Amino acid sequence: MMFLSFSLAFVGFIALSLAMSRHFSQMRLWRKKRSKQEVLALQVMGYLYLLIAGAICMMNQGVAVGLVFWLGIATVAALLQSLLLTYRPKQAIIIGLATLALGVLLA
Amino acid sequence: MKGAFRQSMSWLHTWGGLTLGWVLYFMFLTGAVGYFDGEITRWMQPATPVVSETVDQEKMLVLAEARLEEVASDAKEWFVDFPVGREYALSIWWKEFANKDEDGDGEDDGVWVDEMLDAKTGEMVAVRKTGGGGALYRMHYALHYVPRTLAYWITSLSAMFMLVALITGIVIHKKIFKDFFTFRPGKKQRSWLDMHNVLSVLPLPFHIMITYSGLIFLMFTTMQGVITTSYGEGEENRERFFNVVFSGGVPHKDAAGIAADNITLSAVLPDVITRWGKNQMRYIGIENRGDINAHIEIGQQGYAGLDHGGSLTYDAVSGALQHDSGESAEASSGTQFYEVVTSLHEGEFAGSTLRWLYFISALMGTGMVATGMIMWATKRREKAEKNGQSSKGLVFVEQLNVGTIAGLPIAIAAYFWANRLIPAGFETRADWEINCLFIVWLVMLACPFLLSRKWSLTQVWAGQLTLAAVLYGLLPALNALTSDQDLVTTILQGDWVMAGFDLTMFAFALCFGFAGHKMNRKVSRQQLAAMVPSSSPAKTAKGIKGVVS
Repeated sequence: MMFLSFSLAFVGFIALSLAMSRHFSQMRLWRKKRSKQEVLALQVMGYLYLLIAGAICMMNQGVAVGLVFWLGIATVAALLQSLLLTYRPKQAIIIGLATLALGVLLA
Repeated sequence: MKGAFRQSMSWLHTWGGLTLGWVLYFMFLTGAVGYFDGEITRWMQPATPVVSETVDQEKMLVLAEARLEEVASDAKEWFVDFPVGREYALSIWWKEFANKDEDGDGEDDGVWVDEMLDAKTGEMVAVRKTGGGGALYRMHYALHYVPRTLAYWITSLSAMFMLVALITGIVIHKKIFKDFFTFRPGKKQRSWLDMHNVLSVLPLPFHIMITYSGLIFLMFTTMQGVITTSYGEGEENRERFFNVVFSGGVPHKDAAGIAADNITLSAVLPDVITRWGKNQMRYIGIENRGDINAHIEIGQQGYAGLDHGGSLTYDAVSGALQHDSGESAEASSGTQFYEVVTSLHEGEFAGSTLRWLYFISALMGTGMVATGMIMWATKRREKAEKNGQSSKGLVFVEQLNVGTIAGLPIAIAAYFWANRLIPAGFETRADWEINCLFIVWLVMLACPFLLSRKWSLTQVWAGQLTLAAVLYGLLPALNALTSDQDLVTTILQGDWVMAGFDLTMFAFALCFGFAGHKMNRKVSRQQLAAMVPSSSPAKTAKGIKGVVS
């Protein structure tokens, strides 16, 4: 369950970075531009995934320990995404989705 | 106005950060390592009689009590730790007379002595004396060689500066959201600033929590005035305060000086088992043994949220229950706040995954301090050199940076080496392990100064980072040579505490090796640059790049 939470936070951060123009162009998607709605959708998705990740932590570990867990998980997930953006930006989305799939499988 | 505000905050951030930066680096690193104190101690005592299956606690207690009666029948305090949670073996503790009274309360301070026992036979198992992970953990707030109160003041003051640096850092960071993920390597100052930002911002909740709770932890030393205004001066009044705040309703009874027969520890077990069930104890102990005010205290294993399990106190003369933490009234909100904040800091409740997350965040904090210190010095030195000013003082700061940032990890590795190289029977070996740590650190600090004529600073960086890689990388080999628990054996046995330590050392070696390799390349670039005559800077740069790649 905690790995699912981590993978959700990770994908959440990928979505949030996709909503930022510098990182969007780093990850070099099939398109160069996004509409305003798409940016908004990515932001909503990012925050939503982060919140779900937090909810899983708290349901699994209780509110107090869950909160601590959530912040720790979010820190590592964000660190991973910032390293990917620096060294493997084009693979970030694939790695993110693979992690999420693994998270769902393990849960 | 806004610009001026940000500027003054920036001044505060850089100077506040520098002043106690080295202490903060020391505190962050030893504190990070301290999250694995029990695991480190386990590695440093390879003969630990690890209990891997469940052994009945009633049987263990009978054996432990017999051993205590044999070796410590005069002691006023006994404790038995059961192998649960992060305790790996059955151990007994007692307090021997030490003929000293440092806190001046008129009582002998005593000295704690411990022994590990075989959980099935109750026989003593000889393990080497060591400060273990606990010594590293303790020095992150109590330092070493320094009187306790002074140390608390120094670490509190550093934490105060850290808190100021965090808040001013948030203020002066113009693009905290925009640059959230941004790290641009290979761009000198820009890269250092990016790294500093990433290491500060991503674990910001941790950084704020750890700094603030660190201050709260030591507030009884730093904010003594608050206690003395309400309770009066002196040790006795101070104790009165602590009794009110922390006893949780149990009146802490001192020895009355009237001798009385005590019941055995095992005598209270039936009642403990009806309350908690079998095998639920973390520890059991007796205080004021042989006195009419003797009492037996028992702690429950496991955690409820952030808190330890419950505790029970029995009168050791009559055997009557004096206190059950599960039934006591709630503590005051102040006490509750203190306890929540300090348990967040210690992370005792954390299982292995969460412990790793704590460790990673704390290492990122260590990196935050390190990058800040490096940036402070190089930025100013480069500017001074450009303007043709003297940069002696700045070079001095940079030299201290090497000896601290690369030197302290080397010193910690030396601590582990000393653990295996000092003979197991050597009387004061625990002290000498720590002495080794500080001697090696001192050598590392001195090294950039002593070598300054022959070696450039970059060379010292490269040298120390490589040394760190070698020392950490060979620790698993040293372990295999000096114990019967080499990495292969421990992995096959599934002993992940022992194997985890060795594997983590490999990981550290890789990191230091990578950093050392980068520095070595920088050294060769600099040497080439020095050799090529400075005809045209653009040409030179291109030429060097060609050679290096």
